[in-house]
Amino acid sequence: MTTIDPVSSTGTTVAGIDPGGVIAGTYNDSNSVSHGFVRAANGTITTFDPPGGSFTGVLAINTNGTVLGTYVDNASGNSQVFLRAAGGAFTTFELPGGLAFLFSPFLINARGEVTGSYFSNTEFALVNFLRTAKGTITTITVPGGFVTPSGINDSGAIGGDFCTFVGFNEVCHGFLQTANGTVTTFDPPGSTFTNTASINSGGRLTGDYIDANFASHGFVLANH
Amino acid sequence: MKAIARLVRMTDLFLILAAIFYALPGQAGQPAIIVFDPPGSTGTNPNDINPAGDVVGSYTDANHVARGFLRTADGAIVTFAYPNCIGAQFGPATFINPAGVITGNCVDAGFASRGFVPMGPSRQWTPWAQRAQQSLASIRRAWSRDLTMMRILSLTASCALPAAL
Repeated sequence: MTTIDPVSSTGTTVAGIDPGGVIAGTYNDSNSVSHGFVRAANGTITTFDPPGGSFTGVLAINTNGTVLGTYVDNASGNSQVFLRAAGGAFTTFELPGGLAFLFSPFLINARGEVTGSYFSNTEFALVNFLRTAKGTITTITVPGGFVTPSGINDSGAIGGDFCTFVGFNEVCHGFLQTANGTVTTFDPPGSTFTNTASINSGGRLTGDYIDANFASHGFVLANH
Repeated sequence: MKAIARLVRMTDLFLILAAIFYALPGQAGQPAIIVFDPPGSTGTNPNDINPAGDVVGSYTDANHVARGFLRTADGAIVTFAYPNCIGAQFGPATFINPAGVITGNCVDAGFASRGFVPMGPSRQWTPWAQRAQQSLASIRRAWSRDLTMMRILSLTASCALPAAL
């Protein structure tokens, strides 16, 4: 077993490992300020913060070694998102309305497309987003409700769920958005609450649903 | 006679069309949904799917014990217990990679996270971490799952993952 702790770390968490063995994660220093790190396959650890940033939190690393995370911009005090390429170059961006809290894990695929959902600073609204590798940010459009992406595959297909309130009851359904933006919504037969978990490279989506007796079951959705 | 023959042909055509209609798996353009439960499950929670279509997750058996499962793409289901775990919010079967290696985490009797416990092709669990260690990815998924449950309870606002960790 090999333990991983950047120098001066008081707590280390690992966010992921790419196919080349590069591990990305977050550590806290003695002042309880978090920073990012990447550990090369040979054991070399490089620590980082985005330029002008602090309180870095690493969320994921994709198959190309691009690290996804959030940080606080020291000048504005706003939480922003960063991408750190395998070579160390940073791309940072601010989410529409400003990032207050993550609502779901942010995800990144091999093409560098990022998706997730968050509460915005403005009106504390729940917002979902898809950011292309070129930087265009759009939202996933399903028929209303709170949208939670649960996976984005390397083709750009996104699987997730969306919820609406029927009276005081929250009802959730699954959705699949193809790379060209076509959205299909679905529910397994008998579902009163559909919760997606993961999508694979072939567009197959898995998750669970709750039936009328409050029992949960698994499902696999085949993409057409 | 021709009228009868024509009626028979129309009837045949109707039957053929009806047979085709009922033979279709579903509406065109609608995805096919396969539902499943491991044998004896009273609650099933898939967590991940790999490129081959193998699904891993956890389920609760009739004795309220959390167990893991692997459902391969052909529909076969293998179940397994959580060694030395008293709780497994997601369980060892949290992630599966393209090679079929399964990882996850669990909580031992001391309420310490046992970290990842990979399961190899032999289906034998091997302790990987000797001390508490938990991946951020697991934590994030745990948060996501908790949030889902919180959403059921309509307590979303009190439970959100800070943007800056």
